[in-house]
Amino acid sequence: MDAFTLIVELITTTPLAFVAVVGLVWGIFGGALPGISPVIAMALLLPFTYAMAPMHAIVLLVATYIGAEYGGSIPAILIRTPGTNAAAATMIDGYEMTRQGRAGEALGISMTSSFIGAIVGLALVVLLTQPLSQLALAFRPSSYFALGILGLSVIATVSGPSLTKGAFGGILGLMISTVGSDPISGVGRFTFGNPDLFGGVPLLLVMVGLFAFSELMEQSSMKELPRPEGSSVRLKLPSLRMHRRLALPNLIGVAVGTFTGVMPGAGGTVASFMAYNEAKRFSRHKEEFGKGSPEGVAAPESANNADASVGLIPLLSFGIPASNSTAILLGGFLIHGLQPGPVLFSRDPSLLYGLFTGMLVACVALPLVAFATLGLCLFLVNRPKPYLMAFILVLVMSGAYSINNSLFDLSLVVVAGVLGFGMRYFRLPMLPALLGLVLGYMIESNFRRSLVLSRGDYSVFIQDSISLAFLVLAALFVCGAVLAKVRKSHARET
Amino acid sequence: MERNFWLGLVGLALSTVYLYGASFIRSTSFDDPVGAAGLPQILGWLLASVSILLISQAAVARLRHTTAASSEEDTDPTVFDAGTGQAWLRGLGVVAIAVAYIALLPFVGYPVAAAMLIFTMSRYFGMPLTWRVPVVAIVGALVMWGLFGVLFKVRLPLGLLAPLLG
Repeated sequence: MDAFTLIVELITTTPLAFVAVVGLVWGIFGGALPGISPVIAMALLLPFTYAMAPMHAIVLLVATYIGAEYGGSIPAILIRTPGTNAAAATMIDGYEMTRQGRAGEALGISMTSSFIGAIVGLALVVLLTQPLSQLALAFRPSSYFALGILGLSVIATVSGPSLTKGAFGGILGLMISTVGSDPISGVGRFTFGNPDLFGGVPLLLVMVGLFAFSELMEQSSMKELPRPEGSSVRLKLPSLRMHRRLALPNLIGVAVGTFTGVMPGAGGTVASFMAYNEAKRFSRHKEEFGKGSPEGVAAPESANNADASVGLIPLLSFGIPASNSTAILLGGFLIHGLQPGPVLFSRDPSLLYGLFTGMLVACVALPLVAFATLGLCLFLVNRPKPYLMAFILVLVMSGAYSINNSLFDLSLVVVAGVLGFGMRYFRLPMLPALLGLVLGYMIESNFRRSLVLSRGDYSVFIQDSISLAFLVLAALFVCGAVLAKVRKSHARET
Repeated sequence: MERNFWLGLVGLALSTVYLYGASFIRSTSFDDPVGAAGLPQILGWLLASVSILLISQAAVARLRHTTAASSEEDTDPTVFDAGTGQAWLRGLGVVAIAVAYIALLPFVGYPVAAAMLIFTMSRYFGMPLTWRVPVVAIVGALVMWGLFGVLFKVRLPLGLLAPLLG
């Protein structure tokens, strides 16, 4: 059956399109509500996906991801409060446009640029994922171990200002991953005789606790959110003339987003600010930037949406998440017993066709859904913060309970939430901990399996050329990050 | 930088407890060269080393009289600043509400517990006490029960409302 026929069949005979639109709507709302990031919006959905078919679960999560990247621009433009970190660059000129009475125009530019970024990103995902994953068919346990180490080395680039704290967070995540039964001998580790822990600490509960619950704890001491003046904003699509003007900033945004999407740790925030800077550099209307420039809205929006889509490539090809959001997505795969990578392509290619189809539906539906949901988004953004926080907590607790009908699971969410709050207090970055948690089992089990197969010969990791290449790359990542940090501190001191 | 010092101490304490727990991991005849306790021991010592490094960095920064404003991570606007004890107390209040929910859920049932949760959280986050708050709590709880209990068919405890909804 050819691809086109398969896509049509998936759209017309399965609930795939419906699931994609639901995810998109949820993502837009989630991104629009300050306090709910794309990560939290996805984490809140994880318990719901437990009972879904794997394809629908993954499509739901990815569509949420796509929707949230656009949704974050709504409060950024209307009330100068980015719904997502990546929307902070959009806020600079977007809010100025609102102050000038051009809110509808700003929202329209944001929506069309998001669409362009997402569509181009999707095309790249479809073209590049499978060829890259063919490399992984040659993988042995030693290669998977080295790949996990490469994934961990990403910590060096996502640690933010402090590499030491990044390492601290990564080790913390790895320590949590050791709870449960030993992968080789089955011996219990750190279970305290509790049967609920024999299978390890459920990834989903830790993610929901670390992100969503700790966010609630943080919000409890923060002020009320600003409200938009008037609620009669209407989306206004850019004219043809405006489209011509926005062609270059959109192209810049897509190029930057593609680059940052494949670079682990860069993320939508880096993409959007880089795109903003580059769009300003090449603009014929530089003086307008910071004062309501349409290009200042277009470039960051196309960048962060391209970044979001392209960021799926390392995840789907190798199973390595490059951001918090793709780490949640990896959690979604693992919950359904799926391991992203070449095995997924060979074992169940229809799953990936389904994913690409779902992404296509989400991208195409984005303009329609944006129009349809703007009014409701404004209504929700206007709701009193206490009610929003209360309903988020109810969703968190209900979702966590729905997995195993277990009060112990609810306790785990609370404990993970306290841990997440502590991490925020000590300014420990979350992604390293998440990477350690997600990659810990893969690293340990493949390391020990390699030693069993080689009868204790550690040179297996050097003799395997793929393993050696990944280990060298990991070392380069870490050394590069350390050197950059040292250079930065010297520059600051002088 | 003070915070890094305390983080280092917390890390040292955690690594000590973790290594102590790792000492109880049994070895078996199925063990490979690393064994079930291998990775936990490595991680415990790594955490101890990183913690000592953090404490050292904090001490050096203190000796150089580095102010908080000159520290890049302290000026990172994307990082939450829970510098005051009040922020911690407020956060722990949310924990207390969640713990109370978990404790009451098996007895009062999901609809009542959810309504109490919405009411308490709304009030905790500053909603003034008017007739709207309990109404939103009750309606919200019923919507949630309809979503999870009826639509998603999750087996939720009904508790006090079992004779009515069961």
